[in-house]
Amino acid sequence: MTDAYADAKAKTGPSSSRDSGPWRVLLVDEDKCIGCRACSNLWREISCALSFSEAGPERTIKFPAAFEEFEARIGEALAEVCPTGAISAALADDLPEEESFALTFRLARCRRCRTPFATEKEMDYIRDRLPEEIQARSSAASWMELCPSCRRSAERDAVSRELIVARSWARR
Amino acid sequence: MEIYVDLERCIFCRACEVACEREHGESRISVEAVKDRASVPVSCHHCEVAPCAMVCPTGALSQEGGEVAFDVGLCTRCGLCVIACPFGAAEFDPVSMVQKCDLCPDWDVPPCVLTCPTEALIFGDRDLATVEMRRRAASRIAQSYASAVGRERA
Repeated sequence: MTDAYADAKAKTGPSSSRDSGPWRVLLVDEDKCIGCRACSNLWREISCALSFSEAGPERTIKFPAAFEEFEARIGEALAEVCPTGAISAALADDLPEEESFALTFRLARCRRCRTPFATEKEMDYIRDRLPEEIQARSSAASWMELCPSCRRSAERDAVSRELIVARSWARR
Repeated sequence: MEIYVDLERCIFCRACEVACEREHGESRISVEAVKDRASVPVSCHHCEVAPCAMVCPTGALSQEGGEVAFDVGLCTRCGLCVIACPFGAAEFDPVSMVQKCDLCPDWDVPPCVLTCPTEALIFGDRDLATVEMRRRAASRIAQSYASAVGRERA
């Protein structure tokens, strides 16, 4: 525990009046979390960052380990907002040693523009929920390998193909 | 009811984008040119089998009689719909709410369709759109035939 963290704990929140717990701690199930940004979009104490490592692009989500009494409602909201039920809040006797913890997710890159656009676990989540015939079109590569903006241009190319051929013909 | 596009008529003026932005603050339809020969507006297709509604964990996106409805109050901004849309038609960034065409329920005809100067956007059910597109295609054929005959006479 860093001094700054202890100071912050001492300054704010009703729990600071006690030297010992129980503390409200944030628990995240690493297996369930898919690395979407529902929680970080809800509460800015949870941060989300893009980074590149040797393994490729990654998204890192950093969670505060404990939160104040007056933020108890946030704990409930986070649990409600999490699509996979990975987040929960609990009471603990000891303040966690680290003030925050982070989960890192490998990102899938767009097959066309190489931009990382979603975590691999997010894509697995979606794959599990969509019927197979939606995931792939017969001949072309699956839209699931493209980022949203390349999906738009792939769609544009597909629907305008005939028109472009017709117009090219007229100009000759 | 849905918005259909007659690609023959789209002239890449992007008036629909402006109309949509005026209505919603951010445009939910986007027009881009393809190979300088055509331009294609893309917005929510209101899929009959909608992947976005299938992955939405809270039911903020749901299928309601031919439309994919969006209930802002239920949205958690998890962003799963954005990566589940095969057409890239739902958009959002970490600060904004999910942007998806809602067919402007307060309007009889959505502003993008009213604004389109060439009537490339058609608002209606599939039958109406099909009839209109066939009528236009027939009149194009008639015109080109008439001009060919005109050239022969001259």
